[in-house]
Amino acid sequence: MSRMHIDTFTRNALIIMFGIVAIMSLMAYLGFSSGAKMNGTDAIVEENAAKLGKKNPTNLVTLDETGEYIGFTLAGVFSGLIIGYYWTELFGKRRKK
Amino acid sequence: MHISDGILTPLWCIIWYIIALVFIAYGVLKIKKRTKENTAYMPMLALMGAAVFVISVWHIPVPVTGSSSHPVGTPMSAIIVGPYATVVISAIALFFQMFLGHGGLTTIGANTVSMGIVGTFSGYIVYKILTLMKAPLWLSAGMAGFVGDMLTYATTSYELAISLFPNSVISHWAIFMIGFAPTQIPLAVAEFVFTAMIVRYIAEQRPDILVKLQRGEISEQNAY
Repeated sequence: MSRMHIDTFTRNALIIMFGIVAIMSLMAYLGFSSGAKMNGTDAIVEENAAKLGKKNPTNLVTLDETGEYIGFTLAGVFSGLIIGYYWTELFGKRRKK
Repeated sequence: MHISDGILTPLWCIIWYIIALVFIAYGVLKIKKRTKENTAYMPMLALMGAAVFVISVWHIPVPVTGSSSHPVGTPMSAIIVGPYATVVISAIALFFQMFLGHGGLTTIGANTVSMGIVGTFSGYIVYKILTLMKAPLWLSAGMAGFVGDMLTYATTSYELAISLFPNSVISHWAIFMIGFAPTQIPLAVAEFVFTAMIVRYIAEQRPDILVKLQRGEISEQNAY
Protein backbone atom coordinates (compact mmCIF):
# COMPACT_ATOMS: atom_id res chain seq x y z
CA MET A 1 0.00 0.00 0.00
CA SER A 2 1.49 3.31 -1.06
CA ARG A 3 1.78 6.08 1.51
CA MET A 4 0.01 9.35 0.67
CA HIS A 5 2.48 12.17 0.30
CA ILE A 6 1.53 15.57 1.71
CA ASP A 7 3.88 18.47 1.07
CA THR A 8 4.99 20.72 3.91
CA PHE A 9 2.81 23.66 2.92
CA THR A 10 -0.38 21.55 2.75
CA ARG A 11 0.45 19.84 6.04
CA ASN A 12 1.07 23.14 7.83
CA ALA A 13 -2.05 24.70 6.27
CA LEU A 14 -4.18 21.75 7.41
CA ILE A 15 -2.73 21.87 10.95
CA ILE A 16 -3.44 25.61 11.18
CA MET A 17 -6.95 25.17 9.73
CA PHE A 18 -7.93 22.40 12.14
CA GLY A 19 -6.34 24.29 15.04
CA ILE A 20 -8.33 27.45 14.28
CA VAL A 21 -11.58 25.54 13.75
CA ALA A 22 -11.07 23.63 17.02
CA ILE A 23 -10.40 26.81 19.03
CA MET A 24 -13.34 28.68 17.48
CA SER A 25 -15.69 25.72 17.94
CA LEU A 26 -14.72 25.45 21.59
CA MET A 27 -15.23 29.18 22.16
CA ALA A 28 -18.59 29.16 20.37
CA TYR A 29 -19.67 26.07 22.33
CA LEU A 30 -18.72 27.71 25.64
CA GLY A 31 -20.67 30.82 24.67
CA PHE A 32 -23.77 28.98 23.48
CA SER A 33 -23.78 26.62 26.45
CA SER A 34 -23.97 29.62 28.78
CA GLY A 35 -27.10 30.77 26.95
CA ALA A 36 -25.58 33.66 24.97
CA LYS A 37 -26.66 34.33 21.39
CA MET A 38 -23.09 35.20 20.29
CA ASN A 39 -24.31 37.99 17.99
CA GLY A 40 -21.75 40.26 16.37
CA THR A 41 -20.88 43.39 18.38
CA ASP A 42 -21.14 45.48 15.19
CA ALA A 43 -24.81 44.60 14.94
CA ILE A 44 -25.46 44.95 18.68
CA VAL A 45 -23.91 48.43 18.97
CA GLU A 46 -25.43 49.52 15.65
CA GLU A 47 -28.91 48.40 16.63
CA ASN A 48 -28.70 50.21 19.95
CA ALA A 49 -27.29 53.34 18.30
CA ALA A 50 -30.05 53.27 15.69
CA LYS A 51 -32.68 52.82 18.38
CA LEU A 52 -31.32 55.77 20.38
CA GLY A 53 -31.01 57.91 17.25
CA LYS A 54 -34.41 56.80 15.91
CA LYS A 55 -32.92 55.44 12.70
CA ASN A 56 -33.61 52.25 10.82
CA PRO A 57 -30.51 50.30 9.74
CA THR A 58 -30.93 48.61 6.37
CA ASN A 59 -28.73 46.74 3.97
CA LEU A 60 -29.09 47.12 0.22
CA VAL A 61 -28.14 43.48 -0.03
CA THR A 62 -29.81 41.21 2.48
CA LEU A 63 -29.11 37.52 2.71
CA ASP A 64 -31.08 34.89 4.55
CA GLU A 65 -29.26 32.34 6.69
CA THR A 66 -28.65 29.93 3.78
CA GLY A 67 -27.52 32.80 1.55
CA GLU A 68 -25.01 33.86 4.20
CA TYR A 69 -23.61 30.35 4.48
CA ILE A 70 -23.26 30.05 0.70
CA GLY A 71 -21.90 33.59 0.31
CA PHE A 72 -19.30 33.27 3.04
CA THR A 73 -18.30 29.80 1.87
CA LEU A 74 -17.72 31.00 -1.69
CA ALA A 75 -15.91 34.12 -0.49
CA GLY A 76 -13.75 31.98 1.81
CA VAL A 77 -12.94 29.49 -0.95
CA PHE A 78 -11.90 32.16 -3.46
CA SER A 79 -9.95 34.17 -0.89
CA GLY A 80 -8.27 30.97 0.32
CA LEU A 81 -7.27 30.04 -3.21
CA ILE A 82 -5.77 33.50 -3.80
CA ILE A 83 -3.95 33.48 -0.44
CA GLY A 84 -2.68 29.91 -0.93
CA TYR A 85 -1.53 30.54 -4.49
CA TYR A 86 0.38 33.72 -3.77
CA TRP A 87 1.66 32.48 -0.41
CA THR A 88 3.36 29.50 -2.05
CA GLU A 89 4.61 31.73 -4.86
CA LEU A 90 6.13 34.25 -2.46
CA PHE A 91 7.16 32.06 0.46
CA GLY A 92 7.23 28.58 -1.03
CA LYS A 93 10.97 28.20 -0.94
CA ARG A 94 13.10 29.34 1.92
CA ARG A 95 15.59 31.91 0.71
CA LYS A 96 19.10 32.22 2.05
CA LYS A 97 19.68 35.40 4.05
CA MET B 1 -16.99 48.52 12.11
CA HIS B 2 -19.42 47.61 9.30
CA ILE B 3 -21.96 50.40 9.60
CA SER B 4 -25.11 49.61 7.63
CA ASP B 5 -27.08 51.89 5.34
CA GLY B 6 -29.75 54.12 6.87
CA ILE B 7 -27.91 55.02 10.07
CA LEU B 8 -25.56 57.86 9.17
CA THR B 9 -27.00 61.13 7.93
CA PRO B 10 -26.48 61.92 4.21
CA LEU B 11 -24.14 64.80 5.09
CA TRP B 12 -21.81 62.54 7.07
CA CYS B 13 -21.96 59.82 4.42
CA ILE B 14 -20.69 62.38 1.89
CA ILE B 15 -18.00 63.76 4.21
CA TRP B 16 -16.60 60.28 4.94
CA TYR B 17 -16.74 59.43 1.23
CA ILE B 18 -14.72 62.54 0.32
CA ILE B 19 -12.05 61.79 2.95
CA ALA B 20 -11.85 58.16 1.82
CA LEU B 21 -11.64 59.08 -1.88
CA VAL B 22 -8.66 61.40 -1.30
CA PHE B 23 -6.72 58.57 0.35
CA ILE B 24 -7.87 56.01 -2.23
CA ALA B 25 -6.73 58.22 -5.13
CA TYR B 26 -3.30 58.68 -3.58
CA GLY B 27 -3.18 54.95 -2.79
CA VAL B 28 -3.82 54.05 -6.42
CA LEU B 29 -0.94 56.30 -7.49
CA LYS B 30 1.32 54.67 -4.89
CA ILE B 31 0.36 51.19 -6.10
CA LYS B 32 1.15 52.11 -9.71
CA LYS B 33 4.54 53.50 -8.71
CA ARG B 34 5.52 50.58 -6.50
CA THR B 35 4.38 47.97 -9.02
CA LYS B 36 6.88 49.40 -11.50
CA GLU B 37 9.66 49.39 -8.87
CA ASN B 38 9.11 45.87 -7.52
CA THR B 39 7.67 42.87 -9.35
CA ALA B 40 6.83 41.09 -6.07
CA TYR B 41 4.54 43.94 -5.07
CA MET B 42 1.46 42.92 -7.08
CA PRO B 43 1.28 39.30 -5.82
CA MET B 44 1.78 40.59 -2.27
CA LEU B 45 -0.99 43.11 -2.81
CA ALA B 46 -3.34 40.36 -4.05
CA LEU B 47 -2.43 38.19 -1.05
CA MET B 48 -3.01 41.04 1.40
CA GLY B 49 -6.29 41.98 -0.32
CA ALA B 50 -7.66 38.48 0.09
CA ALA B 51 -6.33 38.30 3.66
CA VAL B 52 -7.88 41.63 4.71
CA PHE B 53 -11.18 40.59 3.12
CA VAL B 54 -11.31 37.34 5.09
CA ILE B 55 -9.91 38.69 8.36
CA SER B 56 -12.31 41.63 8.48
CA VAL B 57 -15.42 39.45 8.26
CA TRP B 58 -14.07 36.59 10.33
CA HIS B 59 -16.33 36.58 13.37
CA ILE B 60 -14.56 35.14 16.36
CA PRO B 61 -16.73 34.15 19.32
CA VAL B 62 -15.79 35.63 22.69
CA PRO B 63 -17.55 33.36 25.23
CA VAL B 64 -16.97 35.71 28.21
CA THR B 65 -19.07 38.47 26.65
CA GLY B 66 -21.54 36.20 24.85
CA SER B 67 -20.94 37.92 21.52
CA SER B 68 -18.55 37.79 18.61
CA SER B 69 -16.55 40.23 16.55
CA HIS B 70 -13.80 40.33 13.98
CA PRO B 71 -10.26 41.68 13.72
CA VAL B 72 -9.40 44.16 10.96
CA GLY B 73 -6.14 42.96 9.38
CA THR B 74 -5.24 46.40 8.04
CA PRO B 75 -2.28 47.09 10.38
CA MET B 76 -0.63 43.89 9.14
CA SER B 77 -1.28 44.90 5.54
CA ALA B 78 0.06 48.42 6.18
CA ILE B 79 3.35 47.02 7.47
CA ILE B 80 3.73 44.70 4.49
CA VAL B 81 2.43 46.66 1.49
CA GLY B 82 2.28 50.18 2.91
CA PRO B 83 -0.56 52.26 4.39
CA TYR B 84 -1.87 53.98 1.26
CA ALA B 85 -2.16 50.71 -0.67
CA THR B 86 -3.97 49.27 2.34
CA VAL B 87 -6.59 52.01 2.12
CA VAL B 88 -7.34 50.88 -1.45
CA ILE B 89 -7.41 47.23 -0.36
CA SER B 90 -9.82 48.09 2.47
CA ALA B 91 -12.21 49.96 0.19
CA ILE B 92 -12.31 47.03 -2.25
CA ALA B 93 -12.78 44.52 0.59
CA LEU B 94 -15.61 46.62 2.08
CA PHE B 95 -17.28 46.88 -1.32
CA PHE B 96 -17.38 43.10 -1.71
CA GLN B 97 -18.37 42.56 1.92
CA MET B 98 -21.45 44.67 1.23
CA PHE B 99 -22.73 41.86 -1.00
CA LEU B 100 -22.48 39.52 1.97
CA GLY B 101 -24.71 41.76 4.06
CA HIS B 102 -21.80 43.41 5.91
CA GLY B 103 -21.84 47.20 5.78
CA GLY B 104 -23.65 49.32 3.25
CA LEU B 105 -23.17 51.19 0.01
CA THR B 106 -23.68 54.66 1.48
CA THR B 107 -21.33 53.84 4.36
CA ILE B 108 -18.35 52.49 2.40
CA GLY B 109 -16.70 55.90 2.92
CA ALA B 110 -17.25 55.84 6.68
CA ASN B 111 -16.16 52.20 6.96
CA THR B 112 -13.08 52.89 4.84
CA VAL B 113 -12.16 55.81 7.10
CA SER B 114 -12.41 53.66 10.24
CA MET B 115 -10.84 50.43 9.03
CA GLY B 116 -8.82 51.56 6.04
CA ILE B 117 -7.48 54.93 7.15
CA VAL B 118 -7.49 55.16 10.95
CA GLY B 119 -6.86 51.45 11.56
CA THR B 120 -4.13 51.39 8.95
CA PHE B 121 -2.29 54.60 9.75
CA SER B 122 -2.50 54.29 13.54
CA GLY B 123 -1.05 50.78 13.34
CA TYR B 124 1.61 51.85 10.88
CA ILE B 125 2.66 54.86 12.97
CA VAL B 126 2.94 52.69 16.09
CA TYR B 127 5.02 50.20 14.11
CA LYS B 128 7.32 52.93 12.81
CA ILE B 129 7.80 54.52 16.23
CA LEU B 130 8.59 51.20 17.92
CA THR B 131 10.92 50.20 15.08
CA LEU B 132 12.77 53.50 15.42
CA MET B 133 13.03 52.81 19.17
CA LYS B 134 14.76 49.51 18.25
CA ALA B 135 11.96 47.37 19.62
CA PRO B 136 11.92 43.76 18.35
CA LEU B 137 10.03 43.32 15.11
CA TRP B 138 7.37 41.05 16.66
CA LEU B 139 6.59 43.64 19.33
CA SER B 140 6.40 46.54 16.86
CA ALA B 141 4.13 44.56 14.53
CA GLY B 142 2.00 43.19 17.37
CA MET B 143 1.43 46.60 18.93
CA ALA B 144 0.51 47.93 15.49
CA GLY B 145 -2.16 45.23 15.27
CA PHE B 146 -3.50 45.95 18.75
CA VAL B 147 -3.65 49.75 18.37
CA GLY B 148 -5.01 49.60 14.79
CA ASP B 149 -7.80 47.26 15.87
CA MET B 150 -8.84 49.35 18.88
CA LEU B 151 -8.73 52.66 17.03
CA THR B 152 -10.79 51.26 14.16
CA TYR B 153 -13.63 50.66 16.58
CA ALA B 154 -13.05 53.98 18.36
CA THR B 155 -13.51 55.66 14.97
CA THR B 156 -16.66 53.69 14.21
CA SER B 157 -18.03 54.81 17.58
CA TYR B 158 -17.14 58.41 16.73
CA GLU B 159 -18.82 58.14 13.31
CA LEU B 160 -22.01 56.86 14.91
CA ALA B 161 -21.91 59.50 17.67
CA ILE B 162 -21.23 62.53 15.46
CA SER B 163 -23.89 61.56 12.95
CA LEU B 164 -26.64 60.49 15.34
CA PHE B 165 -25.96 62.74 18.31
CA PRO B 166 -24.25 65.93 17.11
CA ASN B 167 -25.16 67.72 20.36
CA SER B 168 -23.62 65.14 22.68
CA VAL B 169 -20.82 63.58 20.67
CA ILE B 170 -18.37 62.88 23.49
CA SER B 171 -20.80 61.13 25.82
CA HIS B 172 -22.27 58.97 23.03
CA TRP B 173 -18.82 58.25 21.65
CA ALA B 174 -17.91 56.89 25.09
CA ILE B 175 -21.14 54.86 25.27
CA PHE B 176 -20.53 53.20 21.90
CA MET B 177 -16.90 52.53 22.72
CA ILE B 178 -17.95 50.86 25.96
CA GLY B 179 -20.32 48.73 23.85
CA PHE B 180 -17.49 47.55 21.62
CA ALA B 181 -14.71 47.27 24.22
CA PRO B 182 -15.47 43.99 26.09
CA THR B 183 -15.51 41.95 22.88
CA GLN B 184 -12.96 43.96 20.98
CA ILE B 185 -10.17 43.96 23.57
CA PRO B 186 -9.66 40.14 23.42
CA LEU B 187 -9.76 40.38 19.63
CA ALA B 188 -7.19 43.16 19.63
CA VAL B 189 -4.96 40.81 21.64
CA ALA B 190 -5.55 38.14 18.99
CA GLU B 191 -4.70 40.72 16.33
CA PHE B 192 -1.47 41.48 18.25
CA VAL B 193 -0.52 37.79 18.12
CA PHE B 194 -1.24 37.08 14.46
CA THR B 195 0.20 40.39 13.19
CA ALA B 196 3.39 39.71 15.14
CA MET B 197 3.57 36.11 13.90
CA ILE B 198 2.95 36.89 10.23
CA VAL B 199 5.30 39.88 10.00
CA ARG B 200 8.01 37.93 11.84
CA TYR B 201 7.48 34.93 9.55
CA ILE B 202 7.83 37.09 6.45
CA ALA B 203 10.93 38.80 7.85
CA GLU B 204 12.43 35.40 8.58
CA GLN B 205 11.38 33.68 5.36
CA ARG B 206 11.70 36.44 2.79
CA PRO B 207 13.41 39.45 4.40
CA ASP B 208 14.22 40.68 0.91
CA ILE B 209 10.52 41.23 0.18
CA LEU B 210 9.87 43.06 3.43
CA VAL B 211 12.96 45.20 3.10
CA LYS B 212 12.15 46.03 -0.51
CA LEU B 213 8.55 46.79 0.29
CA GLN B 214 9.51 48.95 3.21
CA ARG B 215 12.44 50.49 1.33
CA GLY B 216 15.09 49.10 3.63
CA GLU B 217 13.61 50.41 6.83
CA ILE B 218 14.09 47.17 8.78
CA SER B 219 17.64 46.69 9.92
CA GLU B 220 19.27 43.32 10.49
CA GLN B 221 19.63 44.20 14.17
CA ASN B 222 15.93 44.36 15.04
CA ALA B 223 14.54 42.16 12.27
CA TYR B 224 13.80 39.27 14.61
